[in-house]
Amino acid sequence: MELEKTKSSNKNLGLFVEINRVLDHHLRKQENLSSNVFSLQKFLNELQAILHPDISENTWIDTMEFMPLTMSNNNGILSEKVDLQKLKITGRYLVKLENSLNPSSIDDRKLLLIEESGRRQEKLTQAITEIDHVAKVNQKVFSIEGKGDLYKRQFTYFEFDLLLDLKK
Amino acid sequence: MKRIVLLFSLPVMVFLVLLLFSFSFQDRVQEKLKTLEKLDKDIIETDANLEIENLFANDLSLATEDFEDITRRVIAQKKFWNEFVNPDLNIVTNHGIKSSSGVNTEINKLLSFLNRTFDSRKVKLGFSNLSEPNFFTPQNQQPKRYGFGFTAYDGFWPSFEKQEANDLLKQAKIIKEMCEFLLDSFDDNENFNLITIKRETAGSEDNKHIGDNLYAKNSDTHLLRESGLVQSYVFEISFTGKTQNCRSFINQLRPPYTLRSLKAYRNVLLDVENRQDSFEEPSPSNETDILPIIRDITSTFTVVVEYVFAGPVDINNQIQNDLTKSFDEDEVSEILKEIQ
Repeated sequence: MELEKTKSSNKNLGLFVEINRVLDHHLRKQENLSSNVFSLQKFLNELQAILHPDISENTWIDTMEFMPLTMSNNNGILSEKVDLQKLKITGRYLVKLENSLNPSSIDDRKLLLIEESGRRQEKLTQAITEIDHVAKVNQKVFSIEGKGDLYKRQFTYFEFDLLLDLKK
Repeated sequence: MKRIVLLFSLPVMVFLVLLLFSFSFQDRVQEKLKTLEKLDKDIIETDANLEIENLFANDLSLATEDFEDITRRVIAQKKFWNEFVNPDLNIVTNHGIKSSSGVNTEINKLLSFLNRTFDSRKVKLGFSNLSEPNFFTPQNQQPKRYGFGFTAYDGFWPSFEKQEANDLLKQAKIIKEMCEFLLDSFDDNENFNLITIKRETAGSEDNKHIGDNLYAKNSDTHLLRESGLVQSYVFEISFTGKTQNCRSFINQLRPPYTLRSLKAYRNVLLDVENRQDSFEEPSPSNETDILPIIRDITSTFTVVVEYVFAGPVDINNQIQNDLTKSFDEDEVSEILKEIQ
């Protein structure tokens, strides 16, 4: 009697398991997609937040562009990973010396500018790395001469090549 | 002697009768024993079955918990996509079908309206300050009215199928709304350039005439509809402005719009050209007088926008289709009622 009762209530187990499996399969696709809907806006908000004076004062982004992403797997075959996007950002930040610092010579001043630029570089890199959607910093370039002009116009040029996971 | 025989024969007879009884009952006993053995086996089997069924019951309980969890996820997804596609306000789902000539009239009216509106705001249409001037354009030639993605259909209307014409009108309505967002992103007295508006082709006839207004997808742009779950139109809009204008435009792109790509470009050469103002060997006291390194903060923005008009197919229907081959349709429906 008890067995029949339990058997009867268990008769839908197979169906339940199958429904769960199929539902989960379809649902995962939808959930992945829905997490991607606003991800670019969220990333832009975070990126703009690092330009806030409290984090990175006098920083400008000159260009921002998504690049084609091709990743090579272990076999060396190029494959495209849909979840990830590659973004290149270039910009500049102004390097200011505190008024209390009073370099006695041009060389001293240059040294202080380099030190300050290094501090800003570290802060900016950390802020960008900490953005939720940044999966990896592929490449970063800082230039104080050439594209940058640290000693005269007191700015450092920067370039970040980022790998974004916009499904986060 | 007779007495002796009688005396001995009686127990023998009793013995024989008893022996006979014994033989006759032995079968029944054996039978009963067998029945008992069978019952014993049945009990063991039933116990084992019950144990298995109890394990199944446990699995069922776990499966039910999973189902409840999945049901919550399904309901959340249904809610998300319903709110995202917003069928009550969605331009595409609320579009009323018109005849091809009706669409022609609507698009002409729309182009006139947009040109008037943008002219009144003194927006430069169709070129960027950052681009090189085109020396091959004759100076005395009257520039053609800006097409807002429909350049070919300003004064020209080929023979469109009704469906294709209506798809064009749906795109036109979306472009109109995006143009309004763009205008709202700038102050009334703020100048900017609307460089291009690109859209997808609405069909084979449109494909013959769309020309430069055709949006060509790059491999670096990921569209939601590539998942195969949603249907959408894609647009690319390019304009000049400041970061705050672009931010304002993007912030207005509420569902069913979704931002798919943003390219920002600023002509750095403008800063380099002004290098004579540069900071030449300053004394430390001049730190606060540093000239800003950015003089012109105008950039060119290229924004790829996807307008979703159909969300994922109802998950219940998908499950019904997937499972009715292996399971009873009514049983599947009964369970799926919970996630209606």
